[in-house]
Amino acid sequence: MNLSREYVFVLWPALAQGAGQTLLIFLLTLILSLPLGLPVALGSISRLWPPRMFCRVYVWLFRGTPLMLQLFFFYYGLGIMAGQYDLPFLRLDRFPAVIVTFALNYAAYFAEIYRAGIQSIDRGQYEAAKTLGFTRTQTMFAIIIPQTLRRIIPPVCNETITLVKDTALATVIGVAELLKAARDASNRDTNTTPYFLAAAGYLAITFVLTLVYQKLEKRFGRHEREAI
Amino acid sequence: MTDHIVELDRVCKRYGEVEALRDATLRVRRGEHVAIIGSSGSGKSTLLRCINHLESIDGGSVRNNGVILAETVGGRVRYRREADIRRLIMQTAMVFQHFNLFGHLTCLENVTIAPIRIKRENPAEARDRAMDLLRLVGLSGKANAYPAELSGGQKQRVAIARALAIRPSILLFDEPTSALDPEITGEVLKVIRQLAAQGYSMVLVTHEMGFAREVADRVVFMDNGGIVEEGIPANIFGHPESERLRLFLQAVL
Repeated sequence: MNLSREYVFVLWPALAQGAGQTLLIFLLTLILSLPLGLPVALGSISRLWPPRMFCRVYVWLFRGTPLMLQLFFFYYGLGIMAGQYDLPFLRLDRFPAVIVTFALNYAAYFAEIYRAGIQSIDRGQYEAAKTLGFTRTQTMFAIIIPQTLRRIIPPVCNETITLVKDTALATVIGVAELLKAARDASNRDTNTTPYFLAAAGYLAITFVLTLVYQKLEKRFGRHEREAI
Repeated sequence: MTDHIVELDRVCKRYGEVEALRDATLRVRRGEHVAIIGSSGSGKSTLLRCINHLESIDGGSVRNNGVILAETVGGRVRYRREADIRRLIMQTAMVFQHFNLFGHLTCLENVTIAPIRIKRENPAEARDRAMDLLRLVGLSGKANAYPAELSGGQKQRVAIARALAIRPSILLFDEPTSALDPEITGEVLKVIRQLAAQGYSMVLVTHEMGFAREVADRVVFMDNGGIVEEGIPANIFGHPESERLRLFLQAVL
């Protein structure tokens, strides 16, 4: 290990760029998968069987297979199919392939968290809303979902911290994120320092996330103060 | 054409093999206060919940203000379209045993949400009226508190204000004090008594015999899914005709 200022200075540009890619994958995945999880969750508890089947099979596929396999499929697999069937739009570049795969994969996990949150709300809430004239949709969006927020924050937080580390999988299809930058530098210099710096980078991100979630939990915990 | 607000005609309800309601018929006139008594599992809550479609019926018919909500034609129950049902059941309002306040909303918001979001009333006016209703139940000081900060009796009083906010033509009380500690049932009963005095029509499912006797114009005794006996409180409590009612009264009084 070599933490001299000169060496860190040499490593910095590549690692910073890698960290930037890591953050970009992380943020884009969240922006896409957090909302996408909701229709999947609602679909999987729908009273109509086609959306219910579709959403449940979707969740099963994406939670039931390795994320790395999914990455290979969306990058290499679709690329091969694009050639075989003459469907060029199936061919994704490395970075879009990562975003598509991660967004679809994480949407499946978030959907399950949302679904559990929705199903944890007491039946009496639906009944009260119904007697007040709410439609099923109005009940879901005005009464049920707002009350799940507080409950789903901890598991969602957990999942996003996992996502920070899963971004490193993008390295297997050659995306230059933080781990790849560290590994390249380490191999080049036969030195472990890049790995330690990369670890520090991941830890910094997860630390910031933890702070954000503590704030969120407080913010949405307001109405759950107990009577004195 | 009719001054019956609620008409349940020979309503049947089954849960699998269990017959929860057998040919139960209940009519409530405008301004009338009906109390339904009976032991647990006698079907009294189920009957109440058929009025506003929280339970669907398996036979018979349900009318609100003379309009058919569900009827049995040729042995099959036909319900009105969902949008019509929604409009009809908004003319009734229910107060639940477990309050069912919306936990993410303040007391004031609990009372205003249906008038503003569903009935599209002017928000400022809805809030003014909600404050009046909270004052009526003695909780104007808790307008900005969340349900979790209230006692059980306070929650139930907010729930009553919320029910009144949609201007129902009848109030349905489903064991409104059964989840409360005995020493705080009084504050809830006081509010219900007040509403009765103001002439609100109501159906009250209750275990509070003294209160039923005091407030009701008519008492309905249910047993085993059917209505066994009904009449004015003095007769029901003073001169029970059926053996089952006598046994029930002996057990609870």
